[in-house]
Amino acid sequence: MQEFEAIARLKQGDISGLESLVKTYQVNALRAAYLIVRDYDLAEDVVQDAFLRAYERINQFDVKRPFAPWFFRIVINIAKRTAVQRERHIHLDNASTNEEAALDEILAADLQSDPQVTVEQRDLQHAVWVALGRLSPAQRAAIIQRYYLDMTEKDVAVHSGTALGTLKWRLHTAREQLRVWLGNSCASF
Amino acid sequence: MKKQEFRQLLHEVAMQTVPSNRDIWPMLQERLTADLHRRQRVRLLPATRLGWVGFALATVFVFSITAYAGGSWLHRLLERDERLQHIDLSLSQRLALSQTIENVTVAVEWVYADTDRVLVGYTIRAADGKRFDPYGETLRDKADITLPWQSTYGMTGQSDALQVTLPAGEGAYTAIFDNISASPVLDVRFEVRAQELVLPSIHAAPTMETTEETPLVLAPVPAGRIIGPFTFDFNVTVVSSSQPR
Repeated sequence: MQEFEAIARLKQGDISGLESLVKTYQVNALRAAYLIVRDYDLAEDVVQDAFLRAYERINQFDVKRPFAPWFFRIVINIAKRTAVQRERHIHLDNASTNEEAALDEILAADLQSDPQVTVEQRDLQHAVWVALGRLSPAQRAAIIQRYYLDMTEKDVAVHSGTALGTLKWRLHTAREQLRVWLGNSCASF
Repeated sequence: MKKQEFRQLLHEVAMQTVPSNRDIWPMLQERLTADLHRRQRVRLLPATRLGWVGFALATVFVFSITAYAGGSWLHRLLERDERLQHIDLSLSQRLALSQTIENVTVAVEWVYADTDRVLVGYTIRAADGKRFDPYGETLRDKADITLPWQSTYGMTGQSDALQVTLPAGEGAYTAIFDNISASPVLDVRFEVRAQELVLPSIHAAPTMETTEETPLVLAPVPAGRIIGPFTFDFNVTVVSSSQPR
């Protein structure tokens, strides 16, 4: 089913339209949400909420515009809010444990899927993962939008409801912090 | 590390936890069905134009135009919504803001904010008695961050049992937003448009003799005109949420 047809069906209350959109965008949405909320189960909740919200508000969607930016704006907003709420309530000890567990998963997955992956590469992935976790949810969301979803700074600003100057500053400080935490491996980033 | 390498690393980390064949549709479908059932229970305004026909024929939930956040009807309403049942509306702040465009007046009467939710209570009234529904509510803070809209409850009509009546052409609404701001005082802009409600007319097919089997034909319903936006700026102090974590 073409995207415009899926949206037209959804606007008529036909959830087969939603199913088509879910199949198209779910994996990328899950990955973006996971990078922000840093918990797979939470990421699933975020993406489900985002699709439900898109369903509720589809009549406000302008069919002349592409669906993906509108939808990912919803995903990022919910993920950011979820990350804020999560980090308010996670004790530091638990957070460390969770991050170590996540690292173990990453390393194990690496070894299983590609034995040729170098230790340096796994270390780098670990370093990036941990460094991302040290950013604030707003910074992390901005980084994910800019570098994972490959959005322009202007689009990130518009989609996050932030002034462009504020967004640039947020990205700048996030990059600076990543440079410090990632050391030489991040020298030209 | 170049930007491209960083991008690649982000993709690798995400791919390792979220496989490409992950399918959330079955779970989402279950939630969608459950949500629809829940909404049917708590929704007081019909979702469709046809629903309004039945709505007009039946006596409905109602409330007084003078009732605002402290009104017992609203307490009962919120108790039915698990997201809202912990809200203490005695902590809401009364406002008296109104704006009239093309003989349609929107009045913001009260606002409540805690660390999880922001509720805005307002009425829409048309001078000519026509019905208007809210359309495209938004709430933005002074940093231009949009607080995500969650849902809107609305009430209209009259109730002998409750001895309260809303005049024709008036509806009262409570818009619910997620509070994603960390600020202790929200400096916000609330915007809403009003869309005219157009009820379908019912005609018998003109060339057919009317019998019990004669089909009733619903005339196409034109889209109601949209008026606004109505814009309101106000501050609200954020109280601690009592919602259990």
